[in-house]
Amino acid sequence: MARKRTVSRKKQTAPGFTTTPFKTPDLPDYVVAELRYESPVAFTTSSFVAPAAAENEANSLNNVLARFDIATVRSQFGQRIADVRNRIELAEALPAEPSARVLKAKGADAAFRQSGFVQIVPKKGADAKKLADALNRAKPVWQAYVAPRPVPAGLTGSSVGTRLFEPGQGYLYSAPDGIGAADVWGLAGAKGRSVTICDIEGAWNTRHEDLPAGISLIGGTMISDLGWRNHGTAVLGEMVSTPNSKGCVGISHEAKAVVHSAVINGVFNLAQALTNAAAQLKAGDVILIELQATGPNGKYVAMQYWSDVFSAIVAATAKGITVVEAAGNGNENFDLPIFNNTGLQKDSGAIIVGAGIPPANFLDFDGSGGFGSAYQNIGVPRSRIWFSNYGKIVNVQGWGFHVTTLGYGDLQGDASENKWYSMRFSGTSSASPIVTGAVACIQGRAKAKNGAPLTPAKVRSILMSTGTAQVAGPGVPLAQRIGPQPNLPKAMLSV
Amino acid sequence: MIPAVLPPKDLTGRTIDLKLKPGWWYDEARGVFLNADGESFVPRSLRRNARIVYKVPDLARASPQALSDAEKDLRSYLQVILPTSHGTKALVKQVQSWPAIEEAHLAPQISLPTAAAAQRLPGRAGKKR
Repeated sequence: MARKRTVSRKKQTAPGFTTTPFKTPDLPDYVVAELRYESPVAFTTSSFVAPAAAENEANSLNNVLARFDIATVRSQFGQRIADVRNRIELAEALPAEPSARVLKAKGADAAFRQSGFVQIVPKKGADAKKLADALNRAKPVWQAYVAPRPVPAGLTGSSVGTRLFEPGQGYLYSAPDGIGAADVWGLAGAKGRSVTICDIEGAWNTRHEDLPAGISLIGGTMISDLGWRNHGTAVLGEMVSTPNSKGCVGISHEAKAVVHSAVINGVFNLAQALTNAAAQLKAGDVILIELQATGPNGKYVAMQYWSDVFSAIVAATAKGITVVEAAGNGNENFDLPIFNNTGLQKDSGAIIVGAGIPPANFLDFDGSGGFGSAYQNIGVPRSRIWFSNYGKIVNVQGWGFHVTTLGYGDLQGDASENKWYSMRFSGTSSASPIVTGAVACIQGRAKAKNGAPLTPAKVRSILMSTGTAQVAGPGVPLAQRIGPQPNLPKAMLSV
Repeated sequence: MIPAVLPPKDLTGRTIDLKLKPGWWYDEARGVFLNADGESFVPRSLRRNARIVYKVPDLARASPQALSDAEKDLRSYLQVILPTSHGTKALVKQVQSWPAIEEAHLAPQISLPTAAAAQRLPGRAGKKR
């Protein structure tokens, strides 16, 4: 079995520009000798050959080989021995050190030039340097050198370790582009310390390399489905991925995360999941509802449309637990008469999150996997993204596209899904964890500064009054309300 | 294209959500709906292996005096869980006619509010599916 050579380069030079240890197979060192054009010398797998008139030249090279234990001699360009022999006739016709013009005139093509490159592999790698030196002293050799041992020229990647993707997490950045999470991390508690976030959906990969240990399933049954697992992993990644030199950094990475599946008794029961989660949390904690369902118009709507879910949210917020809820991706107007007297026109106490256009408001090279054509513009930043639901009850927005986080593997793939990363998490799914992380930062700060968390109503009020305003775009007027994007530095002034 | 990720089929289409009329409750052990006036109703039309369960059983068992209005409301919700999705829609109309029931409907068709997981690059993680 081939041994591996490990080369360590652990120094971090700048965010995202790190090199970690990599391994290359223990390939033997070898020598590349370039014969002079005019030397009528060819080679077999063990020695050099030449016509009688040039026998001395071949001998000089064979004498060098005889001083070393040689494994093989072959063409550096993979030419066959018979083809290499063809070089002799043309070489004999060339003057010493022929010019390019002469070479062209004599018909010395690329194949002829390449035929003079000989790969000589000594059995002992340590002999390579001495062999090259000796060959350089032989008359038929133009130059000889130990072949370079290539190393990966790029930054570290999936084959050698995970890169740092934080520079791609624009939602962490200062307003107006992001929510300014990184701007407030220096404040005591503002990384979400002593706050627990419970994500309610269906599946997660809690073994992902960039998630903290100990994320527990506190109720329900995990769905065995890769799509759902990627989704839950991506959601967690936005909020609590661990801060280190690789992967992502969660908005509220000092918060504790737990998860609750909405599947109970083999079917969905979100009301029970919410009630059970609320029973295990305390005032100041956060519940995130990462689900939507088909409403009366056949479009996806927020889960609080259903009265049992609405009551469960009311009950949870009454305990001081902030509930963050995805508005859903139905391009639905919650203010339509059909929703009169339903949970879509009443206040459950939840923070309902719409999806806005991110600052990078275009699709990528392949149309982002089916969203549209490559590099297609998708709208004005912080305007409503076309599929987001909207209405008076939608309180705030988050990025609805281009969210870099864990899972899926479109940003970094690997044999293990524990190393998958995405730069395309989307929808009110990607928007809601941004707001949830912001809530955890605010509550962590409130606990550290004031000794007590804020009420859910106060948290929502702060986010709405201090956020970066929604923007109108073509076909998406401000009347299609999704609310502002959180701005944590401003919000913290009200904590 | 409306972004959504649907759940596995075995999780959908076989649940009916229902809400009790005020004053009614369901005795899970006996499989009977009861009310304070002594009326009762046995849902005999349910197929074998169907179950009726409270959506939030802890609250259903709790003393209402200790509950908030929202929690009291949650006591009145149940699910009819069927072994398969076959015939569920037809059963909804039956359930709506039960004397103990204020409202009944197919359980919401839940999905994830994001694009389908088709955004992998060829040759990377996408090959593994």
